[in-house]
Amino acid sequence: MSSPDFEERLNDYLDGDLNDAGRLALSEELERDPEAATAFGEAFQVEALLLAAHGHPHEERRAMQAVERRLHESKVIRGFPFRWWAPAAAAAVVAAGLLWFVLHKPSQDLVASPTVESGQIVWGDRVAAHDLSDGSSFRVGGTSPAAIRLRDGSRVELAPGSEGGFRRADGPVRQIFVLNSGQASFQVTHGGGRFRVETPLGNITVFGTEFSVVLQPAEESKATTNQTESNMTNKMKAVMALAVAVTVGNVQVDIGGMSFPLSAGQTAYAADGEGEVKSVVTTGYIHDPKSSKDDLHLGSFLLGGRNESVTVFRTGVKKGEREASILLDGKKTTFQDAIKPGRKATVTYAKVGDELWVSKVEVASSAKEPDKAK
Amino acid sequence: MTNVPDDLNELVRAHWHEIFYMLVTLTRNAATAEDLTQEVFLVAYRKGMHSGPGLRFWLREVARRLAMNELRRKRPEPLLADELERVLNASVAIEREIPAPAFEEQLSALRACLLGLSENDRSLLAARYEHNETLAMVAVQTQQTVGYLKQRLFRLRSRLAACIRQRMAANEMTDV
Repeated sequence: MSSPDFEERLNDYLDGDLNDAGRLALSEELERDPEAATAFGEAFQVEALLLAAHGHPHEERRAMQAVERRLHESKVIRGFPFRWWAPAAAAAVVAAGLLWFVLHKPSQDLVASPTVESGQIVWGDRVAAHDLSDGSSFRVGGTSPAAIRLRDGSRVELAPGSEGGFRRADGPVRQIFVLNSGQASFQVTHGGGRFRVETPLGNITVFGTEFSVVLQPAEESKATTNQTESNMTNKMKAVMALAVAVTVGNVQVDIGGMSFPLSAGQTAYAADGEGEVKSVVTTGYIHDPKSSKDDLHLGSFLLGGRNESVTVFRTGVKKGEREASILLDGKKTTFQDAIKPGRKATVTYAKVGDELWVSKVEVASSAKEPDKAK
Repeated sequence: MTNVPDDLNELVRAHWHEIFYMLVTLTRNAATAEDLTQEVFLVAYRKGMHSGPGLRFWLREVARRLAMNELRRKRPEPLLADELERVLNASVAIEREIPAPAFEEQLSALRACLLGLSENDRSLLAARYEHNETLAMVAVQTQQTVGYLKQRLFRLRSRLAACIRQRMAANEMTDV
């Protein structure tokens, strides 16, 4: 025989309004009274049915497809060639900071939502007690580092003041971590898809197992290029830069629509240079030993403000397996037409070893006309 | 989805609905339920549980375990996992003895039962289950008290449970 309060407790429970004492009383009653347990089971099932009856078909379809996609990924991952699973290590710099990742031993431990293991993670104006949600933006509060266990079992350690978030992964990517500023070290696990780190400048996709990344404050970031006439080292202010150094394995860095696959021993620095074109330093051609044609156009120019020299390869150039887009008012154009002294230019580039790989140059024609005296 | 074996796709399509809404009921969070549903089917896939007798019960049991782990990690939450686990263990023992009717059949029965409700009752259920509104929100909109709405919901659930039972029993009779 159920207690007089049973039905009220049951309904409060279903409405999420049952207090601690009520929950305890309900669970005790369910344990000792099979009739109450049956009633609870039926109410619970009706609750699930009511939710299902009021579900949105398109959302259900999307959610079901997500399940199928994950099964699909599990199948595909099992078939990956072994070389993709070679251990990897990389480092990246963003002018807002320098970012080091360290991937460690693979683990299959999956958790349903990111969990704060130590330190203080602040959401809005409150400290997260334990779990974090997808889509949450947070910062590390206090003066100690914070550690988070991600949904895929990977672990992130964040320096105080670091800011980041999570995004729901889709397709072949199992986990996305967003790092907006600060420093983070990662222990990334194997399995179930790729691990991606998104930064304001570019993304890093991990194929291998071990790598490291550090984000440095902008004023501490340096960009070095020996492609300029002065072979100078420039201090960059408020310029985003990303550096990735791979010690073992493979990663892929995506910046400005261009992909840089990096393997062990390679280092890439990427940055966005922005300023007025001071002068075109050189124009001419570089020789491609694999081609009989001297059709690899090379141009360099100096950006005012940053005093940063960048070298642009014409779209379609195969050197370094890359291609630069030169955009004039958003339309693809040639180096000669676009790059004029006095124009405002924004350059997206990566420095791979001693090379500067430019992925995109955007020039606005509305800027002042070229200085013909030059 | 061409690389997923047909039986896996069938597994998902046959049981996704039930597992997902069971997890929504348990966790009170659709996003968490969606993630856990993926985990349930991944576990099934890894263990080679694609078909066979007892599969449905097994999937529900995995879903319960995952939900318990999730709720336990989320303390303090509206539902306390330890107590809920005791609660569920009690109902699982019964389910083990008397397998629940097929979820989709029950859902069809419920849909038919919903048609027999008044417009006002359907609106209350839609606010609660479709738009995920709290009773306090509905109370403000309808200028009724939360206590009154609780009573109405309680009666509606009871009525619908009875209606489903009747329809399922009628179906069984027809099948016989």
